[in-house]
Amino acid sequence: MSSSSSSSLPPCPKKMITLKSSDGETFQIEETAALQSKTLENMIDENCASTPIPLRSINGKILAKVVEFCNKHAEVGVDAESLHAWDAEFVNVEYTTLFDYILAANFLEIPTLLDLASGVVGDMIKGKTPDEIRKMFNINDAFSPEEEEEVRRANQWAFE
Amino acid sequence: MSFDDDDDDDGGGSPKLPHDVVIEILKRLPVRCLLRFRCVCRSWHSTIDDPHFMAVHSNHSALHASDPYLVALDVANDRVPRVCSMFSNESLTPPSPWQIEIPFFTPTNDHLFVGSCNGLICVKDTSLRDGLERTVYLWNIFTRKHKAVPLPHPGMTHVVRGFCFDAKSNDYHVVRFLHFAGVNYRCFENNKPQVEIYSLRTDSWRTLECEVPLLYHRSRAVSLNGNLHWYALDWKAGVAGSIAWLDIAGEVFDIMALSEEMLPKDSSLVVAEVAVLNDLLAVFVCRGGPPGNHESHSPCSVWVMRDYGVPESWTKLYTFEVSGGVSAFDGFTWKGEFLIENDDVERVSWNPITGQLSNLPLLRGCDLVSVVESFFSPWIRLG
Repeated sequence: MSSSSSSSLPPCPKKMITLKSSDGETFQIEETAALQSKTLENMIDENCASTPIPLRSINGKILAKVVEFCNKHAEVGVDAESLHAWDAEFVNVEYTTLFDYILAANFLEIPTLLDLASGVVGDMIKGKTPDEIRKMFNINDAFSPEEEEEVRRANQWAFE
Repeated sequence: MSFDDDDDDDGGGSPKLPHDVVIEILKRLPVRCLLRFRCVCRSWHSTIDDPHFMAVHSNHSALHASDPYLVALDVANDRVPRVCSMFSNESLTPPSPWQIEIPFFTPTNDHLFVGSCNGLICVKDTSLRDGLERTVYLWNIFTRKHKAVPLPHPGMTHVVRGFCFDAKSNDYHVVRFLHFAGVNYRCFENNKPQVEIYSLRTDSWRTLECEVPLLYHRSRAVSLNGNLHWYALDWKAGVAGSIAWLDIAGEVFDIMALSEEMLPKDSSLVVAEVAVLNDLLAVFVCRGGPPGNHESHSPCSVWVMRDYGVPESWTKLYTFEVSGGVSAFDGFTWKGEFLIENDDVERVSWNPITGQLSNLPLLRGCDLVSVVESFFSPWIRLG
Protein backbone atom coordinates (compact mmCIF):
# COMPACT_ATOMS: atom_id res chain seq x y z
CA MET A 1 0.00 0.00 0.00
CA SER A 2 2.49 2.53 1.18
CA SER A 3 4.95 1.62 -1.56
CA SER A 4 2.36 2.12 -4.32
CA SER A 5 1.37 5.52 -2.97
CA SER A 6 4.98 6.72 -2.68
CA SER A 7 5.81 5.62 -6.24
CA SER A 8 2.97 7.78 -7.56
CA LEU A 9 4.42 10.91 -5.97
CA PRO A 10 6.07 13.37 -8.37
CA PRO A 11 9.89 13.45 -8.13
CA CYS A 12 11.17 15.77 -5.43
CA PRO A 13 11.82 19.18 -7.04
CA LYS A 14 15.49 20.11 -7.18
CA LYS A 15 16.44 22.59 -4.51
CA MET A 16 17.65 25.80 -6.12
CA ILE A 17 19.40 28.81 -4.66
CA THR A 18 19.74 32.25 -6.20
CA LEU A 19 22.97 34.24 -6.51
CA LYS A 20 23.03 37.94 -7.25
CA SER A 21 26.06 39.54 -8.94
CA SER A 22 27.60 42.95 -8.19
CA ASP A 23 25.76 44.39 -11.22
CA GLY A 24 22.39 43.03 -10.14
CA GLU A 25 22.08 39.93 -12.37
CA THR A 26 20.56 36.87 -10.70
CA PHE A 27 21.55 33.27 -11.33
CA GLN A 28 19.80 30.06 -10.28
CA ILE A 29 22.04 27.19 -9.23
CA GLU A 30 21.14 23.77 -7.87
CA GLU A 31 22.06 23.36 -4.25
CA THR A 32 24.09 20.21 -5.01
CA ALA A 33 26.24 22.19 -7.46
CA ALA A 34 26.53 25.16 -5.12
CA LEU A 35 27.94 22.91 -2.38
CA GLN A 36 31.30 22.93 -4.20
CA SER A 37 31.69 26.41 -2.75
CA LYS A 38 32.60 26.33 0.94
CA THR A 39 31.26 29.86 1.32
CA LEU A 40 27.85 28.92 -0.12
CA GLU A 41 27.81 25.64 1.80
CA ASN A 42 28.17 27.56 5.06
CA MET A 43 25.32 29.88 4.08
CA ILE A 44 23.11 26.93 3.16
CA ASP A 45 23.96 25.24 6.49
CA GLU A 46 23.00 28.39 8.36
CA ASN A 47 19.72 28.73 6.40
CA CYS A 48 20.84 32.02 4.88
CA ALA A 49 20.28 30.83 1.31
CA SER A 50 16.50 31.22 1.05
CA THR A 51 16.77 34.74 -0.38
CA PRO A 52 19.07 35.73 -3.26
CA ILE A 53 22.67 35.77 -2.01
CA PRO A 54 24.39 39.05 -2.93
CA LEU A 55 27.97 38.60 -4.23
CA ARG A 56 29.23 42.15 -4.37
CA SER A 57 32.72 41.31 -5.57
CA ILE A 58 31.70 39.21 -8.60
CA ASN A 59 30.15 40.69 -11.74
CA GLY A 60 27.49 38.97 -13.81
CA LYS A 61 29.83 37.96 -16.61
CA ILE A 62 32.17 36.09 -14.24
CA LEU A 63 29.40 34.71 -12.03
CA ALA A 64 27.74 33.15 -15.09
CA LYS A 65 31.01 31.32 -15.83
CA VAL A 66 31.45 30.22 -12.20
CA VAL A 67 27.90 28.81 -12.15
CA GLU A 68 28.64 27.03 -15.44
CA PHE A 69 31.82 25.55 -13.92
CA CYS A 70 30.01 24.33 -10.80
CA ASN A 71 27.20 22.81 -12.85
CA LYS A 72 29.65 20.95 -15.08
CA HIS A 73 31.60 19.62 -12.10
CA ALA A 74 28.37 18.49 -10.38
CA GLU A 75 27.22 16.50 -13.42
CA VAL A 76 27.17 12.78 -12.80
CA GLY A 77 28.69 10.29 -15.19
CA VAL A 78 31.26 12.63 -16.78
CA ASP A 79 34.49 10.71 -17.31
CA ALA A 80 37.75 12.26 -16.15
CA GLU A 81 39.12 12.67 -19.65
CA SER A 82 36.22 14.68 -21.05
CA LEU A 83 36.04 16.80 -17.88
CA HIS A 84 39.74 17.52 -18.31
CA ALA A 85 39.12 18.63 -21.90
CA TRP A 86 36.16 20.76 -20.79
CA ASP A 87 38.32 22.41 -18.09
CA ALA A 88 41.07 23.15 -20.61
CA GLU A 89 38.54 24.91 -22.84
CA PHE A 90 37.06 26.76 -19.85
CA VAL A 91 40.37 28.37 -18.93
CA ASN A 92 41.37 29.13 -22.52
CA VAL A 93 40.77 32.86 -21.88
CA GLU A 94 42.71 36.09 -21.34
CA TYR A 95 44.75 36.26 -18.14
CA THR A 96 42.59 39.13 -16.86
CA THR A 97 39.58 36.79 -16.96
CA LEU A 98 41.65 34.10 -15.24
CA PHE A 99 42.44 36.59 -12.47
CA ASP A 100 38.69 37.19 -12.11
CA TYR A 101 38.09 33.43 -11.88
CA ILE A 102 40.81 33.16 -9.23
CA LEU A 103 39.35 36.04 -7.20
CA ALA A 104 35.84 34.55 -7.43
CA ALA A 105 37.08 31.03 -6.57
CA ASN A 106 39.04 32.46 -3.66
CA PHE A 107 36.03 34.40 -2.34
CA LEU A 108 33.58 31.53 -2.85
CA GLU A 109 36.18 28.93 -1.75
CA ILE A 110 35.89 26.61 -4.73
CA PRO A 111 39.17 24.65 -4.56
CA THR A 112 38.77 22.93 -7.96
CA LEU A 113 38.38 26.25 -9.79
CA LEU A 114 41.10 27.93 -7.73
CA ASP A 115 43.51 25.06 -8.54
CA LEU A 116 42.65 25.09 -12.20
CA ALA A 117 42.92 28.84 -12.78
CA SER A 118 46.00 29.35 -10.55
CA GLY A 119 47.74 26.48 -12.30
CA VAL A 120 47.11 28.02 -15.72
CA VAL A 121 48.36 31.43 -14.58
CA GLY A 122 51.41 29.70 -13.09
CA ASP A 123 52.17 28.04 -16.44
CA MET A 124 51.65 31.37 -18.19
CA ILE A 125 54.16 33.30 -16.08
CA LYS A 126 56.91 30.65 -15.80
CA GLY A 127 58.88 32.04 -18.72
CA LYS A 128 58.12 35.74 -18.24
CA THR A 129 60.61 38.45 -17.31
CA PRO A 130 60.15 40.44 -14.07
CA ASP A 131 59.09 43.40 -16.23
CA GLU A 132 56.35 41.40 -17.94
CA ILE A 133 55.19 40.06 -14.56
CA ARG A 134 54.95 43.59 -13.13
CA LYS A 135 52.78 44.70 -16.04
CA MET A 136 50.60 41.61 -15.86
CA PHE A 137 50.04 41.81 -12.10
CA ASN A 138 49.71 45.58 -12.06
CA ILE A 139 52.55 45.83 -9.54
CA ASN A 140 53.80 49.20 -8.36
CA ASP A 141 56.22 48.43 -5.51
CA ALA A 142 59.13 47.51 -7.78
CA PHE A 143 62.74 47.80 -6.65
CA SER A 144 64.98 50.54 -7.94
CA PRO A 145 67.18 49.29 -10.80
CA GLU A 146 70.19 49.08 -8.44
CA GLU A 147 68.24 47.13 -5.81
CA GLU A 148 66.80 44.81 -8.45
CA GLU A 149 70.28 44.10 -9.76
CA GLU A 150 71.44 43.19 -6.27
CA VAL A 151 68.53 40.80 -5.67
CA ARG A 152 69.12 39.29 -9.09
CA ARG A 153 72.82 38.73 -8.40
CA ALA A 154 72.01 36.52 -5.39
CA ASN A 155 70.63 33.87 -7.77
CA GLN A 156 72.23 34.83 -11.05
CA TRP A 157 72.26 31.20 -12.23
CA ALA A 158 68.45 31.09 -12.20
CA PHE A 159 68.41 33.71 -14.97
CA GLU A 160 70.83 31.87 -17.26
CA MET B 1 27.80 52.53 -36.14
CA SER B 2 29.81 52.42 -32.98
CA PHE B 3 32.03 49.83 -31.36
CA ASP B 4 30.82 48.30 -28.17
CA ASP B 5 33.95 48.35 -26.04
CA ASP B 6 32.35 47.06 -22.83
CA ASP B 7 34.31 43.82 -23.04
CA ASP B 8 37.62 45.50 -23.64
CA ASP B 9 39.45 45.27 -20.31
CA ASP B 10 42.80 46.54 -21.60
CA GLY B 11 42.12 50.11 -20.64
CA GLY B 12 41.42 49.28 -17.00
CA GLY B 13 44.41 46.96 -16.57
CA SER B 14 44.26 43.70 -14.70
CA PRO B 15 42.62 43.37 -11.31
CA LYS B 16 45.01 43.66 -8.39
CA LEU B 17 45.37 40.29 -6.71
CA PRO B 18 45.45 40.13 -2.90
CA HIS B 19 48.43 38.59 -1.16
CA ASP B 20 46.80 35.21 -0.37
CA VAL B 21 45.79 34.80 -4.02
CA VAL B 22 49.32 35.59 -5.21
CA ILE B 23 50.53 32.80 -2.89
CA GLU B 24 48.05 30.43 -4.57
CA ILE B 25 49.81 31.08 -7.87
CA LEU B 26 53.39 31.20 -6.58
CA LYS B 27 53.16 27.94 -4.63
CA ARG B 28 52.73 26.10 -7.95
CA LEU B 29 55.90 27.46 -9.54
CA PRO B 30 59.21 25.64 -9.91
CA VAL B 31 62.01 26.75 -7.58
CA ARG B 32 64.06 28.29 -10.38
CA CYS B 33 61.14 30.59 -11.29
CA LEU B 34 60.64 31.63 -7.68
CA LEU B 35 64.29 32.60 -7.36
CA ARG B 36 63.95 34.73 -10.50
CA PHE B 37 60.71 36.31 -9.33
CA ARG B 38 62.27 37.50 -6.07
CA CYS B 39 63.26 40.64 -7.98
CA VAL B 40 59.75 41.39 -9.32
CA CYS B 41 58.87 43.67 -6.42
CA ARG B 42 59.24 44.14 -2.68
CA SER B 43 56.11 42.20 -1.76
CA TRP B 44 56.97 39.18 -3.93
CA HIS B 45 60.52 39.27 -2.55
CA SER B 46 59.37 39.10 1.05
CA THR B 47 56.68 36.50 0.24
CA ILE B 48 59.13 34.15 -1.48
CA ASP B 49 61.72 34.53 1.31
CA ASP B 50 59.12 33.92 4.04
CA PRO B 51 59.63 30.51 5.80
CA HIS B 52 55.83 30.23 5.95
CA PHE B 53 55.66 30.39 2.15
CA MET B 54 58.48 27.85 1.95
CA ALA B 55 56.34 25.48 4.04
CA VAL B 56 53.26 26.15 1.87
CA HIS B 57 55.32 25.45 -1.26
CA SER B 58 56.76 22.23 0.24
CA ASN B 59 53.31 20.99 1.29
CA HIS B 60 51.94 21.66 -2.16
CA SER B 61 54.87 19.90 -3.84
CA ALA B 62 54.50 16.91 -1.52
CA LEU B 63 50.77 16.56 -2.27
CA HIS B 64 51.22 17.03 -6.01
CA ALA B 65 54.29 14.85 -6.08
CA SER B 66 56.27 16.09 -9.01
CA ASP B 67 58.33 13.50 -10.77
CA PRO B 68 61.77 13.10 -9.25
CA TYR B 69 64.95 14.11 -11.01
CA LEU B 70 67.91 11.79 -11.30
CA VAL B 71 71.17 13.30 -10.13
CA ALA B 72 74.53 11.78 -11.04
CA LEU B 73 77.91 12.64 -9.54
CA ASP B 74 80.11 12.97 -12.59
CA VAL B 75 83.34 11.16 -12.01
CA ALA B 76 85.61 11.72 -14.95
CA ASN B 77 88.41 9.12 -15.10
CA ASP B 78 89.86 8.81 -11.61
CA ARG B 79 89.35 12.43 -10.63
CA VAL B 80 86.95 13.36 -7.87
CA PRO B 81 83.52 14.65 -8.90
CA ARG B 82 83.34 18.38 -9.49
CA VAL B 83 79.88 18.61 -11.02
CA CYS B 84 76.53 16.84 -10.92
CA SER B 85 74.27 16.10 -13.85
CA MET B 86 70.60 16.49 -13.21
CA PHE B 87 68.27 14.63 -15.55
CA SER B 88 64.76 15.94 -15.93
CA ASN B 89 61.85 13.73 -15.05
CA GLU B 90 60.66 13.38 -18.61
CA SER B 91 63.27 11.01 -19.85
CA LEU B 92 66.71 9.81 -19.02
CA THR B 93 67.96 10.33 -22.54
CA PRO B 94 69.50 13.49 -24.04
CA PRO B 95 68.98 16.49 -24.61
CA SER B 96 71.80 16.95 -22.23
CA PRO B 97 71.11 17.24 -18.52
CA TRP B 98 71.75 20.27 -16.37
CA GLN B 99 75.27 20.48 -15.09
CA ILE B 100 75.51 21.84 -11.59
CA GLU B 101 78.78 22.56 -9.85
CA ILE B 102 79.21 20.99 -6.44
CA PRO B 103 79.44 24.04 -4.18
CA PHE B 104 81.50 22.27 -1.51
CA PHE B 105 83.96 20.69 -3.90
CA THR B 106 87.55 20.32 -2.67
CA PRO B 107 90.15 18.48 -4.77
CA THR B 108 91.45 16.56 -1.74
CA ASN B 109 88.11 14.94 -0.94
CA ASP B 110 85.94 12.42 -2.70
CA HIS B 111 82.16 12.76 -2.55
CA LEU B 112 79.44 10.14 -2.39
CA PHE B 113 75.67 10.35 -2.05
CA VAL B 114 74.27 9.09 1.24
CA GLY B 115 70.71 9.50 0.07
CA SER B 116 67.95 11.94 -0.72
CA CYS B 117 64.77 12.83 1.15
CA ASN B 118 62.10 15.48 0.71
CA GLY B 119 64.18 17.53 -1.71
CA LEU B 120 67.47 17.45 0.18
CA ILE B 121 70.46 15.41 -0.92
CA CYS B 122 72.92 14.17 1.69
CA VAL B 123 76.51 13.98 0.45
CA LYS B 124 79.49 12.75 2.44
CA ASP B 125 83.08 13.59 1.78
CA THR B 126 85.99 11.26 2.29
CA SER B 127 89.53 12.49 2.53
CA LEU B 128 91.69 11.07 -0.24
CA ARG B 129 94.67 11.34 2.13
CA ASP B 130 93.53 9.17 5.06
CA GLY B 131 90.19 7.72 3.91
CA LEU B 132 88.28 9.28 6.79
CA GLU B 133 84.92 11.00 6.60
CA ARG B 134 84.82 14.38 8.28
CA THR B 135 81.80 16.22 6.93
CA VAL B 136 78.38 15.54 5.47
CA TYR B 137 76.56 18.15 3.39
CA LEU B 138 72.81 18.65 3.21
CA TRP B 139 72.26 20.13 -0.18
CA ASN B 140 69.23 21.53 -1.95
CA ILE B 141 70.31 21.25 -5.56
CA PHE B 142 67.28 23.33 -6.68
CA THR B 143 68.07 26.41 -4.58
CA ARG B 144 71.84 25.61 -4.70
CA LYS B 145 72.06 26.09 -0.96
CA HIS B 146 73.85 23.69 1.36
CA LYS B 147 74.73 23.17 4.98
CA ALA B 148 77.94 21.53 6.14
CA VAL B 149 77.57 19.17 9.11
CA PRO B 150 80.89 18.25 10.74
CA LEU B 151 81.14 14.73 12.10
CA PRO B 152 82.16 14.35 15.75
CA HIS B 153 85.40 12.42 16.51
CA PRO B 154 86.36 11.88 12.87
CA GLY B 155 89.39 9.78 13.75
CA MET B 156 87.27 6.72 14.51
CA THR B 157 86.23 4.04 12.09
CA HIS B 158 82.77 5.07 11.16
CA VAL B 159 80.62 5.22 8.11
CA VAL B 160 77.74 7.47 7.25
CA ARG B 161 75.04 5.14 6.04
CA GLY B 162 71.65 6.75 5.98
CA PHE B 163 69.60 9.89 5.47
CA CYS B 164 65.91 10.17 6.17
CA PHE B 165 63.05 12.52 6.89
CA ASP B 166 60.73 11.81 9.79
CA ALA B 167 57.34 13.38 9.12
CA LYS B 168 56.23 12.95 12.74
CA SER B 169 58.99 15.19 14.09
CA ASN B 170 59.32 17.15 10.81
CA ASP B 171 63.05 16.61 10.98
CA TYR B 172 65.87 15.34 8.79
CA HIS B 173 68.32 12.79 10.17
CA VAL B 174 71.73 11.50 9.15
CA VAL B 175 72.70 8.10 10.52
CA ARG B 176 76.20 6.71 10.88
CA PHE B 177 77.71 3.55 12.30
CA LEU B 178 80.76 3.32 14.47
CA HIS B 179 82.92 0.21 14.30
CA PHE B 180 81.26 -0.67 11.07
CA ALA B 181 81.91 -4.09 9.62
CA GLY B 182 81.69 -2.93 6.04
CA VAL B 183 84.99 -1.11 6.43
CA ASN B 184 86.95 -3.64 8.37
CA TYR B 185 85.22 -6.84 9.27
CA ARG B 186 87.69 -7.52 12.08
CA CYS B 187 86.44 -4.44 13.91
CA PHE B 188 83.55 -6.55 15.07
CA GLU B 189 85.77 -8.83 17.07
CA ASN B 190 86.49 -6.20 19.69
CA ASN B 191 83.95 -3.47 19.31
CA LYS B 192 80.21 -3.43 19.57
CA PRO B 193 78.64 -1.51 16.75
CA GLN B 194 77.15 1.81 17.71
CA VAL B 195 74.79 4.15 15.91
CA GLU B 196 74.89 7.94 15.96
CA ILE B 197 72.10 10.14 14.66
CA TYR B 198 72.23 13.74 13.57
CA SER B 199 69.10 15.89 13.81
CA LEU B 200 68.84 18.95 11.58
CA ARG B 201 66.29 20.49 13.92
CA THR B 202 68.66 20.50 16.88
CA ASP B 203 71.80 20.60 14.71
CA SER B 204 73.41 17.99 16.94
CA TRP B 205 74.45 14.33 17.11
CA ARG B 206 73.33 11.77 19.67
CA THR B 207 74.25 8.14 20.27
CA LEU B 208 71.46 5.58 20.16
CA GLU B 209 71.04 3.57 23.32
CA CYS B 210 69.45 0.60 21.59
CA GLU B 211 71.14 -2.71 20.86
CA VAL B 212 72.53 -2.76 17.32
CA PRO B 213 72.59 -6.15 15.61
CA LEU B 214 75.94 -7.40 14.37
CA LEU B 215 75.50 -6.93 10.67
CA TYR B 216 77.50 -6.67 7.57
CA HIS B 217 75.88 -4.33 5.12
CA ARG B 218 77.32 -2.21 2.41
CA SER B 219 74.19 -0.94 0.73
CA ARG B 220 72.85 2.58 0.90
CA ALA B 221 69.92 2.95 3.26
CA VAL B 222 66.41 3.27 1.93
CA SER B 223 63.99 5.54 3.72
CA LEU B 224 60.30 4.64 4.04
CA ASN B 225 57.68 5.46 6.69
CA GLY B 226 60.27 7.42 8.68
CA ASN B 227 62.44 4.30 9.00
CA LEU B 228 65.74 3.42 7.37
CA HIS B 229 66.30 0.02 5.76
CA TRP B 230 69.43 -1.84 4.70
CA TYR B 231 69.98 -5.16 3.05
CA ALA B 232 71.99 -6.96 5.70
CA LEU B 233 73.96 -10.13 6.23
CA ASP B 234 74.64 -11.66 9.60
CA TRP B 235 77.75 -13.78 8.99
CA LYS B 236 77.87 -15.29 12.45
CA ALA B 237 74.31 -16.56 12.35
CA GLY B 238 74.84 -17.89 8.85
CA VAL B 239 71.73 -16.14 7.68
CA ALA B 240 71.56 -15.56 3.95
CA GLY B 241 70.10 -12.10 4.17
CA SER B 242 67.51 -9.94 5.80
CA ILE B 243 66.48 -6.33 6.07
CA ALA B 244 67.86 -4.40 8.98
CA TRP B 245 65.71 -1.41 9.83
CA LEU B 246 66.00 1.47 12.19
CA ASP B 247 63.03 3.29 13.67
CA ILE B 248 64.60 6.71 14.26
CA ALA B 249 61.84 8.17 16.42
CA GLY B 250 61.39 5.05 18.54
CA GLU B 251 65.14 4.32 18.65
CA VAL B 252 64.61 0.66 17.78
CA PHE B 253 66.85 -1.42 15.55
CA ASP B 254 65.26 -4.60 14.22
CA ILE B 255 65.31 -7.22 11.49
CA MET B 256 62.71 -7.99 8.85
CA ALA B 257 62.97 -11.48 7.44
CA LEU B 258 63.04 -12.22 3.74
CA SER B 259 61.29 -15.30 2.40
CA GLU B 260 63.46 -18.31 1.55
CA GLU B 261 62.14 -18.26 -1.98
CA MET B 262 63.73 -14.85 -2.51
CA LEU B 263 67.22 -16.11 -1.74
CA PRO B 264 67.54 -19.68 -2.97
CA LYS B 265 70.47 -21.51 -1.43
CA ASP B 266 71.49 -23.32 -4.64
CA SER B 267 72.68 -20.23 -6.50
CA SER B 268 75.16 -17.53 -5.78
CA LEU B 269 73.75 -14.16 -4.91
CA VAL B 270 75.36 -11.37 -6.87
CA VAL B 271 73.37 -8.29 -5.93
CA ALA B 272 70.63 -7.74 -3.39
CA GLU B 273 69.39 -4.24 -2.71
CA VAL B 274 66.48 -2.67 -0.90
CA ALA B 275 64.42 -0.04 -2.74
CA VAL B 276 61.04 1.62 -2.67
CA LEU B 277 58.50 0.97 -5.41
CA ASN B 278 55.10 2.69 -5.32
CA ASP B 279 55.48 3.35 -1.58
CA LEU B 280 56.19 -0.31 -0.90
CA LEU B 281 59.42 -1.74 0.41
CA ALA B 282 61.03 -3.69 -2.44
CA VAL B 283 64.03 -5.97 -2.82
CA PHE B 284 65.98 -6.44 -6.02
CA VAL B 285 67.74 -9.79 -6.23
CA CYS B 286 70.19 -10.86 -8.91
CA ARG B 287 71.76 -14.29 -8.95
CA GLY B 288 74.74 -15.50 -10.92
CA GLY B 289 74.26 -17.90 -13.79
CA PRO B 290 75.47 -21.53 -13.68
CA PRO B 291 79.03 -21.78 -12.33
CA GLY B 292 81.76 -21.49 -14.94
CA ASN B 293 79.53 -19.96 -17.58
CA HIS B 294 80.35 -16.29 -17.61
CA GLU B 295 78.62 -15.63 -20.92
CA SER B 296 75.22 -16.43 -19.50
CA HIS B 297 72.35 -14.19 -18.48
CA SER B 298 71.82 -13.10 -14.92
CA PRO B 299 68.37 -13.91 -13.56
CA CYS B 300 66.89 -10.98 -11.63
CA SER B 301 63.74 -10.67 -9.58
CA VAL B 302 61.94 -7.93 -7.74
CA TRP B 303 59.82 -8.50 -4.64
CA VAL B 304 57.60 -6.12 -2.75
CA MET B 305 56.36 -6.30 0.83
CA ARG B 306 52.61 -5.75 0.38
CA ASP B 307 52.00 -5.11 4.09
CA TYR B 308 54.81 -3.11 5.66
CA GLY B 309 56.57 -5.13 8.36
CA VAL B 310 54.81 -8.42 7.52
CA PRO B 311 57.38 -10.87 6.05
CA GLU B 312 54.59 -13.22 4.90
CA SER B 313 53.46 -10.53 2.49
CA TRP B 314 56.59 -10.63 0.27
CA THR B 315 55.30 -10.96 -3.28
CA LYS B 316 57.31 -11.56 -6.42
CA LEU B 317 56.56 -8.79 -8.91
CA TYR B 318 58.96 -9.38 -11.81
CA THR B 319 61.54 -11.81 -13.07
CA PHE B 320 63.80 -10.99 -15.97
CA GLU B 321 67.30 -11.60 -17.26
CA VAL B 322 70.14 -9.21 -17.93
CA SER B 323 72.72 -10.37 -20.44
CA GLY B 324 76.14 -10.56 -18.87
CA GLY B 325 76.37 -9.66 -15.22
CA VAL B 326 74.85 -7.13 -12.89
CA SER B 327 77.11 -5.23 -10.51
CA ALA B 328 74.67 -2.81 -8.85
CA PHE B 329 71.05 -1.74 -8.61
CA ASP B 330 70.18 1.91 -8.07
CA GLY B 331 66.44 1.73 -7.54
CA PHE B 332 63.55 2.69 -9.73
CA THR B 333 62.77 5.71 -11.86
CA TRP B 334 59.42 7.43 -11.37
CA LYS B 335 58.06 5.42 -14.30
CA GLY B 336 58.95 2.21 -12.47
CA GLU B 337 61.95 1.46 -14.69
CA PHE B 338 64.90 -0.27 -13.07
CA LEU B 339 68.29 1.39 -12.90
CA ILE B 340 70.96 -1.27 -13.17
CA GLU B 341 74.72 -1.18 -13.50
CA ASN B 342 76.06 -4.02 -15.60
CA ASP B 343 79.44 -5.76 -15.47
CA ASP B 344 80.95 -3.18 -17.79
CA VAL B 345 79.98 -0.49 -15.25
CA GLU B 346 77.43 0.86 -17.75
CA ARG B 347 74.08 2.11 -16.57
CA VAL B 348 71.05 0.50 -18.14
CA SER B 349 67.35 0.79 -17.44
CA TRP B 350 64.88 -2.05 -17.74
CA ASN B 351 61.28 -1.31 -18.52
CA PRO B 352 59.05 -3.96 -16.94
CA ILE B 353 56.17 -3.27 -19.33
CA THR B 354 58.03 -3.49 -22.62
CA GLY B 355 60.78 -5.76 -21.28
CA GLN B 356 63.31 -3.47 -22.96
CA LEU B 357 66.80 -2.72 -21.72
CA SER B 358 68.19 0.69 -22.68
CA ASN B 359 71.57 2.24 -22.13
CA LEU B 360 71.62 5.44 -20.10
CA PRO B 361 73.81 8.40 -21.02
CA LEU B 362 75.65 8.31 -17.72
CA LEU B 363 79.33 8.21 -17.02
CA ARG B 364 80.69 4.86 -15.95
CA GLY B 365 80.64 4.17 -12.26
CA CYS B 366 78.94 7.44 -11.33
CA ASP B 367 76.96 7.67 -8.12
CA LEU B 368 73.20 8.17 -8.57
CA VAL B 369 70.38 9.49 -6.45
CA SER B 370 66.83 10.53 -7.30
CA VAL B 371 65.49 13.72 -5.80
CA VAL B 372 62.16 15.55 -5.77
CA GLU B 373 62.10 19.29 -6.35
CA SER B 374 61.86 21.34 -3.19
CA PHE B 375 62.15 24.93 -2.06
CA PHE B 376 63.27 23.87 1.39
CA SER B 377 66.79 24.85 2.37
CA PRO B 378 68.53 23.55 5.44
CA TRP B 379 69.75 26.89 6.71
CA ILE B 380 66.17 27.92 7.48
CA ARG B 381 65.12 26.62 10.87
CA LEU B 382 62.35 24.06 10.74
CA GLY B 383 59.13 25.43 12.17
